[in-house]
Amino acid sequence: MDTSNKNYNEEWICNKCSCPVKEGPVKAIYLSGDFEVELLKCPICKNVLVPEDLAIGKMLEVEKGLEDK
Amino acid sequence: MKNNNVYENDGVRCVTGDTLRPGGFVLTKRAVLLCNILKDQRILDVGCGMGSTVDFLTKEFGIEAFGIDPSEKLIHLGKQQNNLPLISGRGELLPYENESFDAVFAECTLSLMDNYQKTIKEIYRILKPEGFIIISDVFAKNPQYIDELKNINVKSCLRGLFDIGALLAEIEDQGFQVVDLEDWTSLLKQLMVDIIFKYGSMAKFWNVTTCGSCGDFKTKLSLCKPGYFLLIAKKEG
Repeated sequence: MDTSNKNYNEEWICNKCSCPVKEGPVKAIYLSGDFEVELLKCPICKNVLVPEDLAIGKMLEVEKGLEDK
Repeated sequence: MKNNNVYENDGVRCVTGDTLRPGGFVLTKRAVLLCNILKDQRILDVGCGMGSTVDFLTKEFGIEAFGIDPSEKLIHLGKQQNNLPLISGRGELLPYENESFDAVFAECTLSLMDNYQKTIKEIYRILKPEGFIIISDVFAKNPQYIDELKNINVKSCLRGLFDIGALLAEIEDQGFQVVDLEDWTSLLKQLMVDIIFKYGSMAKFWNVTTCGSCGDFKTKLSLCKPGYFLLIAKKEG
């Protein structure tokens, strides 16, 4: 099982709203389909944080998988 | 040959929940509404696993639901947790009387069976006239590569991807009338996303759930381009 699932909750504060971001469901759209993932987002303005290692890790894997489908 | 049964492995359940299939109860609920299955009608879930659909139909709709599955381990878990009416057995030989059910579900299970044609025949036998067979399962958008998957030592529905055209012909030959066919590949894609977020990649997931013995399964699977469907057919009255 993947063990690189770091907890960023205490490390990131929304620059606009000054409150900690929290994990929650986010609807993502890629190619012709949409899907839901758990990402860090600001509970007030709903801005989503995608840390670099997530972008080049799991998110990239998802892109590859969807392109393969 | 000993198969690696991914369904008895907690690795699948931690992503899908107890339903062990894409979409959870989304298509179960849809089928109940489309078939207008009423309270107190009798339904059977073939390949019920731990009986999550049996439990759902009983509690949500008041349906008299039963389940059958070849896995003693999953049947035991279901009985232990919810005291459900589940029995051990195979779809190819259903121990029920003729015309004794209003609807029969096979949710991502026909693709796992040694002889799904025989199971369809058995389902026809136990359904009442105008009863429904409800199948949700995996299919290949490129069915010409299906045979490549047959000899892989992994007990997963994805090894038994359907050729939709052939399945429809078999269902109709048996005496069913197809009343609904829907593409739900979006549910399979969502499951893939959930797996990647849980495990990091599909490769890691297959290694964990098949104990590293999946070989070139992933490559052959990609050739087939898997999709997911809901099919409802009615036994002629």
